Amino acid sequence: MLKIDNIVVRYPGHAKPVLNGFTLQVAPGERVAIIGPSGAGKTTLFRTISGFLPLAAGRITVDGSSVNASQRAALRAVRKQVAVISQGHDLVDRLSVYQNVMAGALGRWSAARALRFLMWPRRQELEQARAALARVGLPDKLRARTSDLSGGQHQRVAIARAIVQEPKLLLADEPIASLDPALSEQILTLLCGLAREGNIALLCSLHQHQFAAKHFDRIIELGHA
Amino acid sequence: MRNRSAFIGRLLAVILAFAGSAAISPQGMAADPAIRVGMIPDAGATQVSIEQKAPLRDHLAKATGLNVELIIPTNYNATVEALGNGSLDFAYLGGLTYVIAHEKYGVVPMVQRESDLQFHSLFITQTGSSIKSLADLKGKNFAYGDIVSTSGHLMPYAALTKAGIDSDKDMKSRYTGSHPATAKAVESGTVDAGAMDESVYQAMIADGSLDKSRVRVFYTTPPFLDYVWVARKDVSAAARQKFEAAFLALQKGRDDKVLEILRGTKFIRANDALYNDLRKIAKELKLF
Amino acid sequence: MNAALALIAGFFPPDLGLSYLGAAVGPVLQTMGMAMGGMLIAIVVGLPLAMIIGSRVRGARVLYGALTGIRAVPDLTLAILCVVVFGLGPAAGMLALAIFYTAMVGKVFADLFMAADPRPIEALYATGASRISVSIFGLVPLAVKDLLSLGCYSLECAVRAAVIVGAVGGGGLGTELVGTLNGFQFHRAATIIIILILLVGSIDSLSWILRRAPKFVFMLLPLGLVSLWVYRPQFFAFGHAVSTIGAMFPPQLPSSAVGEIPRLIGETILIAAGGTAFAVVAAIPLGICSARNIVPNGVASAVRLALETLRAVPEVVWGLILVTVVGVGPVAGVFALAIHTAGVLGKLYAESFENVECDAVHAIEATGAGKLATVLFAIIPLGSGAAAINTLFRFEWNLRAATVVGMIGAGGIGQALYNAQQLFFYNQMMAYVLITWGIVLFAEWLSTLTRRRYGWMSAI
Repeated sequence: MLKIDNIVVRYPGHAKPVLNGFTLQVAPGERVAIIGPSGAGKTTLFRTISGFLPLAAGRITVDGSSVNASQRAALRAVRKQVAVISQGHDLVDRLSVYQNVMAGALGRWSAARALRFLMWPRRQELEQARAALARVGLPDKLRARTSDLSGGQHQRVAIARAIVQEPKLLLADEPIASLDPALSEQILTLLCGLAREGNIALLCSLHQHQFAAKHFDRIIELGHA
Repeated sequence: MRNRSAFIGRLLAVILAFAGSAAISPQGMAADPAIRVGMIPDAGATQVSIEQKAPLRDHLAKATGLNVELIIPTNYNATVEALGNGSLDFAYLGGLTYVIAHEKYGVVPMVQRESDLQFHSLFITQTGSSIKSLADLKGKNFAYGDIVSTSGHLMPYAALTKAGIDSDKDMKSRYTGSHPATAKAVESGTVDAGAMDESVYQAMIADGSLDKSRVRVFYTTPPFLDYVWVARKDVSAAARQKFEAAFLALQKGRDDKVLEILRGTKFIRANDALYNDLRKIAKELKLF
Repeated sequence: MNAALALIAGFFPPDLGLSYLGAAVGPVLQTMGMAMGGMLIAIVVGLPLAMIIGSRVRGARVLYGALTGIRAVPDLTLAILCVVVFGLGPAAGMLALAIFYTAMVGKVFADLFMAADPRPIEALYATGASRISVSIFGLVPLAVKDLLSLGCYSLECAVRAAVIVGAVGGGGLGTELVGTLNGFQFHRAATIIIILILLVGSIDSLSWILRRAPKFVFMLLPLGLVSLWVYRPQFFAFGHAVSTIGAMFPPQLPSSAVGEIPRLIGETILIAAGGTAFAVVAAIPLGICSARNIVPNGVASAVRLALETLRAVPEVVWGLILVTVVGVGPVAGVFALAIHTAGVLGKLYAESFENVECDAVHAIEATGAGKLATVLFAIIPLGSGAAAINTLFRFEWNLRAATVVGMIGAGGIGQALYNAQQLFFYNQMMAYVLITWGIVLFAEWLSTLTRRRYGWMSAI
């Protein structure tokens, strides 16, 4: 599903690459954890896979199509297949929860439909959002304000958005960084359950070894490059 | 909840009132075939003053058989540009604005008052002032009217130049923007002296808006050619002739109301060639 | 001096006769129509422009620069240009407002969008959404709350501006006011000013309602649409516009005028600085006397009402009155700016004092300090940072306003601009427009620099 082949990634203006010759393959339904200290390049890796950072060398393909940050149309097609959940802060605060959840469908929707949905959501769209929220255990938060959510709820709404996106690859960047152990357990169970049921490839970065060992098929250590 | 619906009701009422009155406002009627006539802004362009000019509007409407809309722009430049862009069909211009509009947009001179052939500017000061002649103006605060006014700027400026006074260097000159403002500035002592249109001066003295015990005239310019009614270049000859005839037919005794608005007694045909002197002066003084 | 007092006495009593109030209905509708129609265009055009800039496409910088540039042109100059292109009357005024406020809405929201947290936006892109969808989902929600308050604020400004553009032939209350002043019908001018104060006051209360029940904002939509239709341009003289604008280029000044430029610029800066300085002197006591945490509520409300009255009447209108009363010249300009600015700053100062952090005030009170000591040691020092930013913003604004009051007789570069335009020397006029533009952009740059240096955030 995901093939990363010997990639080199540099931030503009920095000579030293953050990732240098990194290679990885993830099969459909496989759950892979990436472990490493802060600054090891986990976030960089995820941003590169979703096409926010250019490749200095190497190649990334998702389901056979290659990720190329400079080709917008092709990149959009790839991004539709890849759902991203990050450390928080990636929901739009002033939208309500169902609007944030249905944002997962934006890759499939025309701009006109997006606008119409914001003003007049249809019942089946609301039902879809409710179903996704039910899977993450928040069916009653459909019309809540996003800014009123707690940290754990925030993360679960982000997962609900990923569900609506129906991805083939799920990237979770430190999804439990700011959560307590009980909540962390819940979130990881949820993510791994999703991957198994939907045959989705899951790539998840973590700090904690014990969680990684418990939930994931494979663990990759990412040290200082 | 009741409050809210009452509020909505009130808002809707406001909207309807707005829409309704907009529909019957003059703008709404402008779609009818109408001729738009521009006056010059010499006496205050208010809704009331436009209403006061109703006899003139009715006279023109009757004579031309068309809807007439009188418009008083707030400045001369706007009047001339309106003749250029077609938002006015006819207009009343001062001598200098006519010369400019003729050159820029080819406006056609039609008629003018007999008195416009022999027009004068007056230099006025306070009754008790020491100013007796143009030479006394050196070093004084002086008020012109509008910068493109013939009788409020061009001709007084020319008279001063002829008397050997450089208005820009020898005096502290300013523009008040209108003849009445000049008169008031002199009356109140804001300036030492000023120059203005004789017909406006006489009208202000007559209706008491200027106190004749507080101002006096100390110099009258030689006669010059001033105001003229013009037509936009593209107005048809037929419409122009009807308009001219409406003015030429005005008679003292019969059309006093209209003549009073126009501050004249008799109208005659205008002739562009007579403006050549004015053109020359304006060119020399770099106002044209 | 006596003569000036006599002139002021001429404003009383205002002509509140039914026949004159009836005659004023048309101008009021025109002014409101210009403001509503102009704002509708401004929001419909300005917001997408801001979204384009906010989504950081190629060329966004150029667009942003263009908006900044348009905003730096005084509204009166835009109105004059629109009268030239679209003929006399409210259509020209409405379009001038539309252009000016499109630039304002566009720039304010572009700033807002560019300052927005990039992570949610990136998360939306990550779903494979198109640029437009991302703008709609990620940017518009950010704008909704501010759109409402900015919308109300700028509708109020637009009504004031509609009066200003009326003064050069845009119709409405401005034209009527100039007429009454030129005709020395001061008691009628007073009527117009009272109407203006009431109009601005009622928009203020409307915005108070809208902030509580934002849905009603859609009620303004039909008003805006009706205005747009009624005051649509009846003339569009394209050829005339091209040739007139062509006559402005290349901008050029005769050599005698070039030597005058430093003096003119100096005069304009002096009007702005003098007006702001007098306003600050008046606004500090007024601001203290209208802060509810300093003086009793009753006093605060009364002073605030007085401030609202000063604020409701734009600088140009004070200028038109003062030019008539004290005569043309920079003095009229300084006081015109001072009166309006005192109203604006007084209100802002009061708000800065009211918004100070309670903890620090309590700490001072806990030392056993009296009321006055608390005001002096806590409230004023704590509020002065915000007050200083507002003053700086206002000075920047007043530089533009000084040009505008210059056009109506206060002197400086504005007067030169107006004279050149009145004499049809359009290439000279354009030269003065460019100079004005330079002054305003320079002031904007300087104030941004100062704010950055002292770590002040944007206040508006």
